[in-house]
Amino acid sequence: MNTADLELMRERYLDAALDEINDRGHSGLAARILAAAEGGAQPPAPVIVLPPSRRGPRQWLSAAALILALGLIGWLIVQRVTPPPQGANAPIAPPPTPKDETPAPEADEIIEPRSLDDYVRAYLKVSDADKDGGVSWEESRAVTLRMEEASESARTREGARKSQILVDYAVEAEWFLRSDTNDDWVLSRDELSLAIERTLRKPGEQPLPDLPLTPADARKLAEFWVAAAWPHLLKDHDKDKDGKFTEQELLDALHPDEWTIANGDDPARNNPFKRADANGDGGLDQGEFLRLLDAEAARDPQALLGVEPLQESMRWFIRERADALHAPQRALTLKPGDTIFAQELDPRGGRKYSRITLKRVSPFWVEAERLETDKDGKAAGKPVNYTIGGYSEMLLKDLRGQGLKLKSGEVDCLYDDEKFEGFTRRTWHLKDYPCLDMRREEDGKLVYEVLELRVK
Amino acid sequence: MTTAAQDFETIVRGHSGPLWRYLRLLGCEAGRADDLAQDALLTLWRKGLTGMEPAATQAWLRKAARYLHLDSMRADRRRRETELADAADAVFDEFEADGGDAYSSRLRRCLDRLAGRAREAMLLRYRDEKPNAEVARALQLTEDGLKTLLKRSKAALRECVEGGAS
Repeated sequence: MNTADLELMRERYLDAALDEINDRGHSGLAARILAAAEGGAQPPAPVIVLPPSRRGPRQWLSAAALILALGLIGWLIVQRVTPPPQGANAPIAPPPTPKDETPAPEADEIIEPRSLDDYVRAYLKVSDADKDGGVSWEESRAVTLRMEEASESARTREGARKSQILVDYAVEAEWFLRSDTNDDWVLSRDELSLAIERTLRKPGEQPLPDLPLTPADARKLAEFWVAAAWPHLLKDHDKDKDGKFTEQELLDALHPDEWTIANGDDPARNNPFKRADANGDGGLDQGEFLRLLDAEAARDPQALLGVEPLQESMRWFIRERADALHAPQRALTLKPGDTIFAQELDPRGGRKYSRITLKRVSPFWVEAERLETDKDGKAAGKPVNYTIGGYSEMLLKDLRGQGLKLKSGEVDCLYDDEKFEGFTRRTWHLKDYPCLDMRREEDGKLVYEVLELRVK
Repeated sequence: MTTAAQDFETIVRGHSGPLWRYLRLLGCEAGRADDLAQDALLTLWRKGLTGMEPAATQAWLRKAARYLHLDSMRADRRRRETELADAADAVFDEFEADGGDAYSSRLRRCLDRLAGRAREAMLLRYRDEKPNAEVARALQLTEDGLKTLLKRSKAALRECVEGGAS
């Protein structure tokens, strides 16, 4: 038996298993066989709930919700929460500067989520600055801003950081608007529970349907989209650099495929572009562009058909932009035995230096030894063993599954899965490596650090 | 040398070249064409058909070569299918010891840990059963790009699953 044949069979087995992940594989076949054997009619095909658009907004929202909710919560629960910075230059109605308003929870108050309610409590604990039992939009944005500030060292370009905040706000806005079911701009505990529940899927579970966007939500969301996308759209697609979009430039930028169809038999009447071009100069400025996305203004049902694909395209534009902005600036691939020199930015001030040597790399986590050093890399303490990996909950389970005895303090959640690629070559591939979130136990207390890694 | 033997020698010298080229035309490798041409000519000899007219001999040899070629193809295919079935048995035994539960469970975990576009592509393609063209459009990839992404993702999944993700 040759290896190539075995490889081929392993590939086929994976294909078969993948075909079953939606439970429409052999289980459907078995049901049909049994029904036929019993002389009954063939059971109906499983109901497939398709997203309203072929571009799959549910998938998009899932990704966005994951970025926002799990990412946010994941970040928060491993953070020793620091007061948000002052003077943030947020372009959309600057958030409050809650440095003096937000009490920083003690490190030992950090909640390790184990259930939906834990996640809700964790979210409330770090976001509900005024302790009114809900999270307002301002409070939500303040947390996002703190995330951005914490990862500032990862942003090598100031412009990128500013864009990052705008785009992240736009992504967050959709999550917030969908979650805020009574449109009061405050997420109550119940609303948070509903929203977070949608981000906590066990493997194989079907996603819960997205919470709906009301027309008012859609109108508000368009403001975020335009604020976030406008500079990017101009930079990438305003070919004549006049600060406006012609219809063709817009089509090239957003590809609203159905637009042409929606314009149908009366382009002049139904064309969303012409409707938005208030002064009729053939170009849309930022304000006119916002009108373009305003479904409410498109009272003609035919015109609405043109708005929806455009809104969908905007969603995808923002999402792609968010991906691009979060994409790694640099990457570093390490293998067991490699050593990196870490420069730590201590949130309490000053810097510390250490050397991290990779000992073992699995598909999902890395064992490393960390040795405190002076700035020249000379050892200054005893080595400490670290584990680096995905979300702490998952990581603990993985390690316990391998028979390791662990206390929570032994596991340091440094990296989320998006930035961690141990998958393919059993190497530690660090994306965005200049900033690592690290938590460790020191004298019985959890200490949070930010690392800047440099290869030595 | 008997008359039949002389006839056969004449046939071999006159027909082996065209027969070999015919077999090559059918897709045989050079060595295989040698073997099959020889088999066809020896069959003609054994059957005592050396006395036919040259045109009839040529037609008979062509039919024989064609039959031998198809038969050898079937034999090769059977042998190959047997080899593949053996490999399938080995892999089946390896992964199905518990009814495939462990593999399936690892697969779900590994899928859940797949990151970024790779995960999205796999879920759209396999969980949501979207056609390639639609998935490619959703991810703003070309179909070739999607195929490459899926191939890499599956390789990563295989390594993860077979590496025993717990």
